[in-house]
Amino acid sequence: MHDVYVTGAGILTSIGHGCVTFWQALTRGDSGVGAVTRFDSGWFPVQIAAEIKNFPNISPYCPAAESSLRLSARLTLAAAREALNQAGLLSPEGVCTLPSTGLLIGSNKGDLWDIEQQRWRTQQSLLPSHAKKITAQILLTDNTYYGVLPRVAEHLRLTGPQHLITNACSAGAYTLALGAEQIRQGQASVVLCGGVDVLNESIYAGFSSLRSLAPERCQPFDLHRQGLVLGEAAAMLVLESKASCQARGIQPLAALAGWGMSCDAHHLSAPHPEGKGTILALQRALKNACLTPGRIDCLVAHGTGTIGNDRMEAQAFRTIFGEAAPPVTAPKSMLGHSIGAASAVEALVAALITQNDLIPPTINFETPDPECPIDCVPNQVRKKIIRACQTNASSFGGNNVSLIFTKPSPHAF
Amino acid sequence: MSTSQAVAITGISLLSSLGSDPRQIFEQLLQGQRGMSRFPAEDLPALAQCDYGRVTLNLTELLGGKGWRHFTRAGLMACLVGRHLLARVETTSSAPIDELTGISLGYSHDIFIPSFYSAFMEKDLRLINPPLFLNLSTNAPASQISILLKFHGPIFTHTTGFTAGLEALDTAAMMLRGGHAERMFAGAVQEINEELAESFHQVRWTNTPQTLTSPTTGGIIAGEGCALLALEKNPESRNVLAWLRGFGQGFNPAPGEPGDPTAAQQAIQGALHQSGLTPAEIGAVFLAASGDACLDAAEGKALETVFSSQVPPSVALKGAWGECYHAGGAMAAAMAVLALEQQCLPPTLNLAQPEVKRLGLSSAIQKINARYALIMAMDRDQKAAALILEASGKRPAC
Repeated sequence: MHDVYVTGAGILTSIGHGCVTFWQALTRGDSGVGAVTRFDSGWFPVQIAAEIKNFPNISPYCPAAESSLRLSARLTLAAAREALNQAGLLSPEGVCTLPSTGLLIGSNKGDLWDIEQQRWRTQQSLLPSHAKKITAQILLTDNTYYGVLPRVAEHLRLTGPQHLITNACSAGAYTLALGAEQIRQGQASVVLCGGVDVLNESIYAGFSSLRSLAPERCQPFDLHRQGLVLGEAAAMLVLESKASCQARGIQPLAALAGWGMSCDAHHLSAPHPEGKGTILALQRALKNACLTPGRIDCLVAHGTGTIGNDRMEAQAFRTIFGEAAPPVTAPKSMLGHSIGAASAVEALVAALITQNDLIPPTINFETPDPECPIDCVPNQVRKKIIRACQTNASSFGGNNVSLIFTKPSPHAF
Repeated sequence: MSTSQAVAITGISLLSSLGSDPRQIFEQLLQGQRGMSRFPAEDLPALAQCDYGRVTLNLTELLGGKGWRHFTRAGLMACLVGRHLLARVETTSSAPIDELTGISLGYSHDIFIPSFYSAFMEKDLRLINPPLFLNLSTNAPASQISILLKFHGPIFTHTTGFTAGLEALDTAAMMLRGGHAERMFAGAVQEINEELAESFHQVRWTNTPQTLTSPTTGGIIAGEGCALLALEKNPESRNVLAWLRGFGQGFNPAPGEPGDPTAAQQAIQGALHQSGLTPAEIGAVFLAASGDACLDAAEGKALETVFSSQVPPSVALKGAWGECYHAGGAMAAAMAVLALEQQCLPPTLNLAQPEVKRLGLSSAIQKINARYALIMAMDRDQKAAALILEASGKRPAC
C-alpha cells in the first residue's frame, strides 16, 4: 500500500485564478455571482451565474496551437500547469517533465459550450438540417463532446493512464479517488486529477426547467434558500506517492488519506430521503482512511442551496458525527455550482483548509434552518487547527464520493 | 500481478445486433452470421443507404412494465443487460448482491436529440422536458442500472471513446482490489442515434454496402450494443468463467504518420507487464479492427512488433456487429471469455486481402490452445487500450 499526497494544485474560478488569489478571495467571503455573459440568457426566468472572468484568450505557451482549443481544454491546461509547476513538474515550455504522469479529468458536459457556439453560428446562415449536419461533423472531428482529455494530454505531453469520468456533479472527486487508488495499488506514482466544466446553455436550460435555480444568490443551509446558482471552474491536483515525493525532495501540501464511494440507487435527481448513499460514502472514506468521525475537524459540504439536498446532507452529517459535528463550509455559496468541476474545487479547498488551519465561510447565511442543524461557519472565516478535513459530493443519479485530507506526517519528509 | 490479485469474471451479459444471449451470440459468430440492417428510410433518409449493426429487439417490451418512457436507448440497453447479468450471477453465486456491488460503465451520448434541439431553436423553456434532461446526463445509464438493481457500491461512467469499455473493466478491478466493492458489474453501452450515425457519415467514416468492413479496407459500419461482466475478487472457484489478468493504456501525444503504432504498442506492453506475461504466452487476440484504414494499420504494426511477426490466432468481430464505439472493447471481452472456455475463435467476416494472415486472422473457425487472450481497443485520438484474460481452467471442446 502506497500513501498518497497532494504535491500541487491549480484552479480557475469566478472569484480568482490561481491558488493564492483564490484562497484569499474564498477566506474573505467574495462572491463570484453576476449576470450571465456566456450566452443569451434572456429567455430564462433567472439570469445569474458564477462565471470565470478575465481568462486570457492567448496562451503563454504555444499560443498559435493552444488559443484555438476549446475553452474547457484551455481552462484545464491553465489549472494543470499551475498544479504541475507547484509540484516541480512543469518545464519552461509548459509541458510535464514526467511524461508517465496519469491524467484523470472529471466533466459533466465537456466541450458543450463551444459546440453550442458553433451551432448557433451555423444556424444563422444555414437551414437547421444543414446546421445539424455540420455540428455532427464538429463532434467527431474533435472526439465528440469530450475532446478535453486528449487535447490536454497532447499539450502537456503526457503518455500515462488517462480517464475521463462523467459522473455528473461528483465527477471531479471521483477522478481523485480513482487516481489515488492507482497510486495506492502501485499502478502509478504521479497522477494529475481534477475537473472542468464551462457554463453552457443546455445545462442552464435543464436546471431552469427543473426550477432549481436561485433568483439572486446561493444560500446553503439557510432557512430561506431558493436553489443553486450555476457556475464554472477548472481545478487540478497533482497526487503523488510517498516514494516519489521523497525521491524528488518535494514537501506535500496535504495527504489524501482516504476515499469512499457509493450510489443512492434511489432516483435520478432526488436525493435519498435518509441520505443513505451520502452516509455510506462518508463512512467508507473514514474506514478507508482508518479514522474515526471524532478525528474530522472540518467538513466541506456539497451544499448546493437546494431544499432537498441541504436537508439530506445536514442529516447525514448528524448521523455520522452526532451533535458534536465539526464545522461545515459550503463553497458553492461563493462559487456557484460548477457541475463536473465542483467536487474537485471542493477537494482543493479541503487540502488548503488542512494546510492553512482556516475554514472559509458559508456566505449569504442569515436564518438557521431547524432541519439543517449544523454549524455552517456563517459569513466569517474561522481559525481552527485541522487534523483532517472531509469532503462530500453527490450528483444526479446519486453518485456519491467523499475524500479525507490530512496534514502530511512531519516525520515522513 | 500475482494470481491473488487477479479478479474473476463470474458472469457475462451481452446485447448486440445478433441478439441478447451471449452463448447464442457466440454460436452465431462461429457460424459466421452478420447482424446488419438498415435504418428505416423515414427515420434517417440521408443514411438509408448504409448498413448498421442495429439492435432490432423491442427493448421496452423485453424490460416489461411501464416507467421506461424517458429512458434513452442506451439506458434501456444497459438496464436490460444489467438485469440479465444479475439473473445469471444470482443463480451461480452464493455471495449476496449487497451494498458493496458497484457499476463501472463506458458510455457517451449526444445531448442534441431532436426535442432538446427544438427547444433551443425556439428559445422556449416550455419545450424543455425535465425528465428528458435528467435522462440525458451522461451518468444516467450507470445510475439507472444501480437504481434498478439496488446497487450501493462505487459507480463510474467512463467517457473516453473507443477505449472506455476496457477502462471501465480495469477500474472495476481496481475497486475490488482496493476493497471498495465485493462485486462489480463492468462494461459499456453504446446506442446508434441520429447524431452519431450522421457524425460517422459526415466524416466519411462509414462504408457503403458494396465495400463492407474489413481489417484491410477502409470504412466502418456503425453498430450498437452493451456488454457487462460480473467481476469478483474472491468467488467460489466453480463460478469462475475467466480471470482478468492485466490492463494497459497507450497514448501518443505527438503522432507521426497516419497509422502510427506507438499507442497500441504501449497498451499491449502495459497489459503484458501488469500480467507478468510474455508475448509468447498469449494464445488468442481479439482485434479492435474496425475497417478504418489508419487504425487497423496502427494495430497491425503494433501486434507485429510486440509478437515479432508471430501474431497468435486472432479475430475481428466488427464485421459481424459493427463498430460499437464505447461498447466495442467490452463486447469483445465478453466473447473472449467464451472463446477461452470453448478454445476456438469465430471467423473474421469480409476478409479480402491475403496479407491479413500475418495478423493471425482467418475466415474460418480457428481452434486455439490458449490460456491467455488479449483484447484490443483503438481510439481515433491516438489512444489505445489492451486487456488480458486468463481461462478459468474449464475447457470444453469446440
